[in-house]
Amino acid sequence: MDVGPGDAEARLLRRAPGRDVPVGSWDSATDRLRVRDHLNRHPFYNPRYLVERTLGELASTRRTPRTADDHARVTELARSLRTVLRRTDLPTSVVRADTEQVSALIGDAVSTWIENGRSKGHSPAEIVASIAALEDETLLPLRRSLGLDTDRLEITERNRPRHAS
Amino acid sequence: MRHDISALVLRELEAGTIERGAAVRLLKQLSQKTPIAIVGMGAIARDTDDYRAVWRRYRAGESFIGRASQQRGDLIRSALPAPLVGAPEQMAKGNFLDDIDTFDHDLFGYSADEARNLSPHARLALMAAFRAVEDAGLGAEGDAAHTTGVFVGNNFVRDQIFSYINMALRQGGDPEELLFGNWTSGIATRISRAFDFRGPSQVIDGACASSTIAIVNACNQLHEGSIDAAITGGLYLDMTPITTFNQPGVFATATEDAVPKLYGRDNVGGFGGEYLGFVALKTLERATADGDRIHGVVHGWSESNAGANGGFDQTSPDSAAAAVRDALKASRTDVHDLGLVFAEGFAQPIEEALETDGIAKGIASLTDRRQFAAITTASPAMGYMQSAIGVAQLQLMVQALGDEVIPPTLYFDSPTELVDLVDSPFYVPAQPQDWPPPESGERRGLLYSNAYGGFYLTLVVGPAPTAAVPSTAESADATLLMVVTGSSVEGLRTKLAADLEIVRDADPRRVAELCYSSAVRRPAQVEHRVVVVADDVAALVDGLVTALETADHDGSRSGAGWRLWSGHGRSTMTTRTSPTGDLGTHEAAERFCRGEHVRFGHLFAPVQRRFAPLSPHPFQRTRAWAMPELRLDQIGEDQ
Repeated sequence: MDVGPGDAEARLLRRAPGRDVPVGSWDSATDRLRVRDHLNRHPFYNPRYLVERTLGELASTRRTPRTADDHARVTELARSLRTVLRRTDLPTSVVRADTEQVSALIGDAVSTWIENGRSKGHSPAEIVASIAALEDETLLPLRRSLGLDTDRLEITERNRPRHAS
Repeated sequence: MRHDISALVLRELEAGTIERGAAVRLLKQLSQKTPIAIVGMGAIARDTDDYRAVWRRYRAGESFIGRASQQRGDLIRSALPAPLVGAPEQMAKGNFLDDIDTFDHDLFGYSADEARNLSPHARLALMAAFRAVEDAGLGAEGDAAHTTGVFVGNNFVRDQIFSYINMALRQGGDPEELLFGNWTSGIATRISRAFDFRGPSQVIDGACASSTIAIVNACNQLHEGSIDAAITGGLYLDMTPITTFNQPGVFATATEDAVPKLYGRDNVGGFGGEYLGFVALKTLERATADGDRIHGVVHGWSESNAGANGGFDQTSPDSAAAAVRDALKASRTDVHDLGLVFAEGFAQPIEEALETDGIAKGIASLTDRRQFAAITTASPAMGYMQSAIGVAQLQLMVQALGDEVIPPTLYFDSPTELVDLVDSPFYVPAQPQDWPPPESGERRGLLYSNAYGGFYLTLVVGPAPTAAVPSTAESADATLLMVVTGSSVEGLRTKLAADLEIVRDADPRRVAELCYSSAVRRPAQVEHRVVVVADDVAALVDGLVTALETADHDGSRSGAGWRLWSGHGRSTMTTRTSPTGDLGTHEAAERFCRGEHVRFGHLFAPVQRRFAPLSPHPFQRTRAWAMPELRLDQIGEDQ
């Protein structure tokens, strides 16, 4: 975690080839409000933020003309996420949280993220890169903790969440 | 629509002198808009008077928001009760200019005293308009035979409590001078006076939509043929950028700790943003004939008002939808070509949801496709620019089209619950990204503004047509006569150095266009002058290098294949003298450098007469402020 001022160190570290460790930054050299945004939103180690951010990914990515099934799938994914977000027991920190619940939330969020990318015609490399950026944004080691097979974009059987709902 | 002509068509149809099919075709054609070319842009924003620098920062996702500088507090401290402007934390958060107290008064023909009594709005508007005129090459002979109108959007409400005149009068300023210097209705005429524009001069107050209304008025007049060119845009300045008047939590102003999250689930309001921007417009046909550089094209526009349905709303989704549909039809735009929508960006969650719903309805009435167009607003990054937001976002849109980039919506992380964005035509771009080409047609952007009371405006904008490159044969025999001017010797040097770099880096086929632009479409009548006449590009560079090295010497010098003249006149932008008749190259150069007003246009072959921009004129800004500046550490001594 680069605590600043600025985010020069984080930018350098993020360029490391084959990096699979999240690199966060509190500050930004070009944005005086970024620290305040972090203080307000608490994005780090926050499963609820991860789910909100996944819904944000659905809302912030362009759909390319694909099949009607793909379109229906994106709409269905958004509906499921909204249902999850209506729950009042969503943990906002991994500290003292139910490990299984957190694991299930992370698994669902990442699966949804991947499915959204696939439905919108994103390449596997683009999806993996966006998940890496999400790790930096949340400091959650998503790929490693889920044993995500980034070649096939599948969460392995060993780590598949047990309460995916 | 030309209602006079459409009424005539309907009368002829009734009289049976025209067939029904022909009448329908004519009426359809009349409802379509003449494409309007954006041929120049100018802006004054935080830390820059270069619209390109604003775009570069904006597309990279930089924020312009910060606390107003202590300098802004020092400027108004003497006129306000001490508790209102005290410590640095009493300065408001937002996007505020630092330098509103300086002006190049000589350039615009004002004395130092007159400049002090002139409102900052007028002073900065003159400089922003200058940049647009310069960028369009409408100066000197560039405006010959044009009827150019000036349309300025400005909203006076914010200044009703503590205006510049109010504060200056409290400091014993001259009431008469301040009254006339601060009459904001005169800003458009001041611009016309500076550039000798002969068309209408209007200041338009349409609240947040002021600059968009000004642009639409200009487009309407160009469409109808009542003017040939227009300088239009608007401004927003906040004379009191202090927390007292930007009260956290009031109106759409966020709390001090908030971060503006447009389209987000935590949209808690936004900050204010100062901006002055102008665009120069001509019909596309005229711009092409004039050899203008075209930044982008307004293909259509529309207006709709909620009052017509008995409403008085801030946002009525149905009226907004109607404006969007009308603009798409008037511009003959396939809705699927839309790649980017710049919305109003007023950071009040319900307001934003109603607006987004209205724009979405307008688009969704023409297609079932979802999430194909980005929707964004400049407000999170640049603050809510109120009466200037329309022109600011038009300038950003044109550059987004030019660079084929969708700019980011800062701080977007999760969508609002008030609108189902996933099931809408929109996605909110969280990161800068390529603007993909549509499957058919060309990229189009849509700009939306609404005004207090329920007045909705929409513009549909497309990229510039591809510009032709002159052939080598065309450029071989071109006249290489380059004019460089400055308000002072130092200014002349700065401009010479910058123009020299542009000539050195230019495609040799374009140098003749640069020469034409420097001589014929430069800012008119600037005091310090240099003319270099050369046989070829290498000699022109040598001549410019010598001019730079000897900028403070008047007279004539020559070298291998080049000759230069330098001198100065006593004229300013507003000096009116009749130009000397058509002269030969050397005589025109010599007499121009003796201070005469001469014409150069006839010296350039028609094929050279294409505008190519050179470096901006360096302003010589000096202090122009009617109140004593009072630093925080002087309060005890002086108040």
